[in-house]
Amino acid sequence: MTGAPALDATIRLTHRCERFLLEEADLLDRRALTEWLSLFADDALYWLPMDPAQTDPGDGLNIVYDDTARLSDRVARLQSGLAFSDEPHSITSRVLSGVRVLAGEEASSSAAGRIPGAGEHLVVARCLIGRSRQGVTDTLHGRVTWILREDGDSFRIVVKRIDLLNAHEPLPVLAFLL
Amino acid sequence: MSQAVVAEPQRLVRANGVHRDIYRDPDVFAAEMDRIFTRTWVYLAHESEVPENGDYLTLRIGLEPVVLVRGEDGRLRALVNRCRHRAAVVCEQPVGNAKSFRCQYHGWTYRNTGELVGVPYPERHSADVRERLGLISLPRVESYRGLIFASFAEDVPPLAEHLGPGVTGYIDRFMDQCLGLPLVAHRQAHRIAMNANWKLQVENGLDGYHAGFTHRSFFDVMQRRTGSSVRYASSLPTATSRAFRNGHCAIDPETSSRKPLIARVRTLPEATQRLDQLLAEVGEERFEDYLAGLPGAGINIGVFPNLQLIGIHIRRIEPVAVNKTVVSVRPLLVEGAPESLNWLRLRYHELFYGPAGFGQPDDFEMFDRVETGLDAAHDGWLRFERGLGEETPAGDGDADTVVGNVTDETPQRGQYRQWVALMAGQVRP
Ligand code: FES
Ligand SMILES: [Fe+2]
Repeated sequence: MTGAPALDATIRLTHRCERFLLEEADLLDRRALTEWLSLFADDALYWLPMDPAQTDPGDGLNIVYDDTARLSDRVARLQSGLAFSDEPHSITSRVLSGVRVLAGEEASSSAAGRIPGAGEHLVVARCLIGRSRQGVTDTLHGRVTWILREDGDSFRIVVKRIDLLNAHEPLPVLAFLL
Repeated sequence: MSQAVVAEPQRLVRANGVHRDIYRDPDVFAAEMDRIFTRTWVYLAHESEVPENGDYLTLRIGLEPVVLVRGEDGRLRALVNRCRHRAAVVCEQPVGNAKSFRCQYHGWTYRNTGELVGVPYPERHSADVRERLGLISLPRVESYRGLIFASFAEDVPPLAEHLGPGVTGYIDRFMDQCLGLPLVAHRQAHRIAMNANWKLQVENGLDGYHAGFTHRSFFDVMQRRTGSSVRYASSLPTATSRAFRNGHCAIDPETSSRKPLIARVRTLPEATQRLDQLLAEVGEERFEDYLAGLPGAGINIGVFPNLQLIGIHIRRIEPVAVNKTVVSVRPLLVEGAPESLNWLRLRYHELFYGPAGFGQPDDFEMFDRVETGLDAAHDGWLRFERGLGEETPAGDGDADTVVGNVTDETPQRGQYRQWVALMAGQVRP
């Protein structure tokens, strides 16, 4: 069952997902926010919970709970020049590591706040975000979970969930996009 | 120089402003922790956070570590979280339930009422060690409308008298915001770290002047989504700010219409579905009443020094150092209301508040900008002079209350009158 063809398919899928997610990170680091937003599906969820055990964004108080419309508001606010908490902008540098496309039972878990449907993949990675603003450089550590939907030869982001290492602690202002 | 100023705090506060040293001087901060946070009533938590016997939470009063705990006898106590032996904290968890607290250093054990009940190998201690060395229990703990306060000073007046009829009238309005149903604290709170002095948040929570400027991007987003261009009602002549006795205050935009706030509710994720659920559950007649209370009472209340009631949340201001503060923002849910209503309340809260909300981060940015501007030593004064000399008495049963326009700096002048009175040791009793 786990012969060479199956392994090949797994490696190919992981590689495609990783390429896509590295490009996503690069868009954020270049602050190409309109392009970044266009990666999201119309029914997307962009989510920063405070509790890593939470599997439904409606089950608690969140740092961010955006549907696609609210995420567009977020981008528009950041692009307006009036979101003072990110004026001047944060400059970021993201490192993604350990990208895994979950398989088997794990692939149908609700870890991303939804259960992936047909043609959707549950992907997890660790992320380090270096951020520099107003003379201060800090680092955010997180576990990121995506649901990616097949879309031609690329993907749409259906869910992006970021669990910050210190989500339960007092946090600095996080006006920029993670 | 700072020691001299601390001896004479009156030099730092004028009728129309305050000196930069009150935000910057570590000696002033140390004096505040002593003369404000250990001398007056300080807000701790809401009763619904510690409902059962044994429920506790840890926090600080000023810089003092404290466990607020409901003892086996049902009574609330604020115990200093410090072993009477050699100072280790006896409780490390932020919240929990315990019959006793054991200091893990040498194993001394205290009941959740504070008594020392266990000392390993007691024969090498004097016989009265247990009687002498219970946890220090703050002499005064009292509540008003579920809000628990404590004081290190035994001789403070009763809490109700300290608050007075002015601010309690507003607290009642706030607590009755949803059809008079009881409010309960959500188990989670947003906590934001600010690199600025705690008083910048004290001033800002009651600032009716800043919203249209600091939060312009929020109003723009809402205008685009709802089609209505309602901003903070700062130009209404009926919109007031109030300074009550003892540094307590309120701002009251007195908007008659809840429509713009409710239009915002309709932009929340899953709003249509949840509003339909609410309608189905409560019926058409009650639906509008529930909606009206959903975004809160529409007033901001400040209880000096560390409590604010805003929107649907309780805000606790936690000083950490002269230039470091943590602000805790805890939403309140409506007990006995349909789940859909509380669901929408949390979403409504997340829209503006928290580390990544569309509003609160911009306030924090202004605190940073003030902190940077305070480097300018040549103009040492910050001006709180809007509406000075034009305030009127309120007729709210408290001779101390004065009223100004909502954009006036009436609340801040009241806060600093109390600040200077406490710092100079002039407060009753
Ligand atoms: S410090 Fe607590 S038992 Fe010694
Ligand atoms: Fe504000």
